[in-house]
Amino acid sequence: MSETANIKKEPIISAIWIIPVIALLVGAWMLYQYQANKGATIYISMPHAEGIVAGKTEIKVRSVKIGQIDHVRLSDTKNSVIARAQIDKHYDGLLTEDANIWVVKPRIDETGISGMSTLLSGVYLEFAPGESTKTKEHFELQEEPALIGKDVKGGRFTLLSYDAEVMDVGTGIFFKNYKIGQVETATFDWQNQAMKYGIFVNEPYQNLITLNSIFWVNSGVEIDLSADGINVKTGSISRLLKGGISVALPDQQSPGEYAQEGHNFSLSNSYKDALEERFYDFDYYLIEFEQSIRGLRAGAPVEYRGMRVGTVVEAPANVIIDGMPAHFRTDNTAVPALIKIEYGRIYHDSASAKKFWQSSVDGWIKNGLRASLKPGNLLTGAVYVDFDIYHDAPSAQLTTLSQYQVFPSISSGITVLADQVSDVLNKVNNLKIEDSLAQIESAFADYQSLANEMRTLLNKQDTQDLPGDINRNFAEMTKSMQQFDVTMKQFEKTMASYQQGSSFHQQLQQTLSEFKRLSEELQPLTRGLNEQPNMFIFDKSLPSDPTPRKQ
Amino acid sequence: MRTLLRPQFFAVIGVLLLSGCSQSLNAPVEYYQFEQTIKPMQRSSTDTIAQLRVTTVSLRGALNNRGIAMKLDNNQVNAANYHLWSEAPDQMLTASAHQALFTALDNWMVVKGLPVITDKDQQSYYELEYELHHFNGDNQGNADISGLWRLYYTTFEKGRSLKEIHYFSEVSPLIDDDYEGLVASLELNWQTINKQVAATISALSHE
Repeated sequence: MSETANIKKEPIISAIWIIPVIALLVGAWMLYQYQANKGATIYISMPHAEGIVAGKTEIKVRSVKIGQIDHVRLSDTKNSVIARAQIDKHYDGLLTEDANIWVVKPRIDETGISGMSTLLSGVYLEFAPGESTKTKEHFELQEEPALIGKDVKGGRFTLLSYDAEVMDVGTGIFFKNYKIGQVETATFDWQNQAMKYGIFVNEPYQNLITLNSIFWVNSGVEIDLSADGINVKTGSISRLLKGGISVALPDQQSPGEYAQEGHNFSLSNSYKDALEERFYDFDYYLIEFEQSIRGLRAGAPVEYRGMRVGTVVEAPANVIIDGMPAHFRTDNTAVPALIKIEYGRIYHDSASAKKFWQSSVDGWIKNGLRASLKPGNLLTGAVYVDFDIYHDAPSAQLTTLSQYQVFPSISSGITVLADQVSDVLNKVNNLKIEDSLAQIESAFADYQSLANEMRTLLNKQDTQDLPGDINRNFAEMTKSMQQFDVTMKQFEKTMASYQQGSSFHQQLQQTLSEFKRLSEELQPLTRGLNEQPNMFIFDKSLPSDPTPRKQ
Repeated sequence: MRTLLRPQFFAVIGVLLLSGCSQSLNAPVEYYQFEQTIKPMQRSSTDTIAQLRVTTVSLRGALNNRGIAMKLDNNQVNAANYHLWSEAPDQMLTASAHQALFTALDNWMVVKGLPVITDKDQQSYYELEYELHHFNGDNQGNADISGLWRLYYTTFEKGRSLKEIHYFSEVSPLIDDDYEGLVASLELNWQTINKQVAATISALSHE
């Protein structure tokens, strides 16, 4: 019998290898899971790492944790700090390139106290995602918190201020005392020497900003001195501390067109200044005066028969012709003044006013429209530019000097004085002196009749009886005075009982002397008690007296 | 034992307390005053040439003390504990001065510190003011009264004016030993001073 041997081929790989393979797979799965859950890594560069702790400092969006700082090191140049942070996987999409990041720590400023919760918990980084679709992994830490979140809607405008005081970032924008926005950026434009403020007006209030809006600095305290007394108005504390920028429409003006994003407005020092500076649509004119311009100042009004149409810009005008000032020319002794015709003053729709002015000015000049200087204030000597029609003026037209149009002028001074004298004479002429004399005459006649009536009255018996009545009244008054005298004597008697020598006074004196005597009686006792406090209980044991001895 | 001790204990304490409290105050205090003999006198304002008011004598420091003062040395004065004036020295001296001056100035109306006189005729008057610096005995056997006096003249029209100031120092040996001798000597000195004052005042040419 033979047995056949079954030869089994040994498996090449032992089954035991399953275990390492499974381990490998599990390891790989874990690695994958780790990588898959790890999320993005970002790097934040900052000037210093004050309060930042690796493994502890969190990154939050709207106070929700999205990641954590896991490593802090100095940059390669050693002049800043690079913090590495792990962001949770779900929040990768927040890491947009226009995102902002800043440190939340306790802050006390004009707007109030913030970040107090970090006093105990330590600082954290607040992350404000942007709206961009691109992401990045290197961020710069901002010094200050972002004032306005990326998702806050509203409008941004620019304010230019040439002379108003400097406002801080964060200063509120107020419309009728209600805060509608704030200053977002404040930069000094050194080339134009003006402060340039970027302002943000929250939705829907950006619709309040129209092309004819005016902006002015509101100091927070308004003092109004009027016939009713002094009225002091103050706003909130923060407004008092930081002031604010007010925006409004000039009185009796309807809102114009909406201002576009980024529209430039002028920021004035006060509402009054703002009203003056709101006419953005104007043209410059030069006026050459063949006389002294003493008293003419920048800001003086330009009027047409009492209606204001513009403002004096420079007096004298700094016009340079061939490198020489225009007011020192040899061939022309006139002194130029620069004015601007502000079309908004002529009509609220400045575009149509401009069109009207420009189309009509030549005709007016032909008809005798001339500029002249007129005294505005006799006390200060201030003068203003007045436009008026002078029919007898020599013919003239608009000319050009340098880049300006020159408006024809007419000399004032003696002329003005003559006109004024003539006015006065006319007024005197118009006084109806004859009528007045007639009135005076009739008044005298009235007086005459009054005197006659008085005489009749005095001659009447009743009137003559009057002195008797008066005498009776005097007799009654004398009687009253006598009664008063009696009263006073009684009063004197009453008082006499209290004066020196009176019985009351003597009693008082007596009482006082009794008091004195009593205190003298008590003197040895108090002295003894002073030396021997137990004198009441024990025998008096004061030292014996020295004995006087004869010589 | 206890019941016996308690009443005995309280009895002893009670006896002690009673004996302590009932002990007589046998302090030998003696009181003195000026003898000041009064002679019957009378004066009418119609017979007098002027009025003199004697104001209350003022004694400096501890001198106005009921204890009779003894100067122990230059800078130490003792006020007696057992030898007292029977009334305040200032009152006693004022009364004594008044009496002495009244006697000496027989054509003057001498009064003692009346507060006011409403009669217009009597609103011109002289005022005498004593200020005593010493009023004591000393260890050398002397009685000492020293000080000053001022004389004022008041008229209805001109008001009050100071006329004279005199300093005086009357030191005399004791008449007898002990405080009786001292008081008698002091009284003698005071009489002498008042006589001098009266002589000065009567020599005044009355305005």
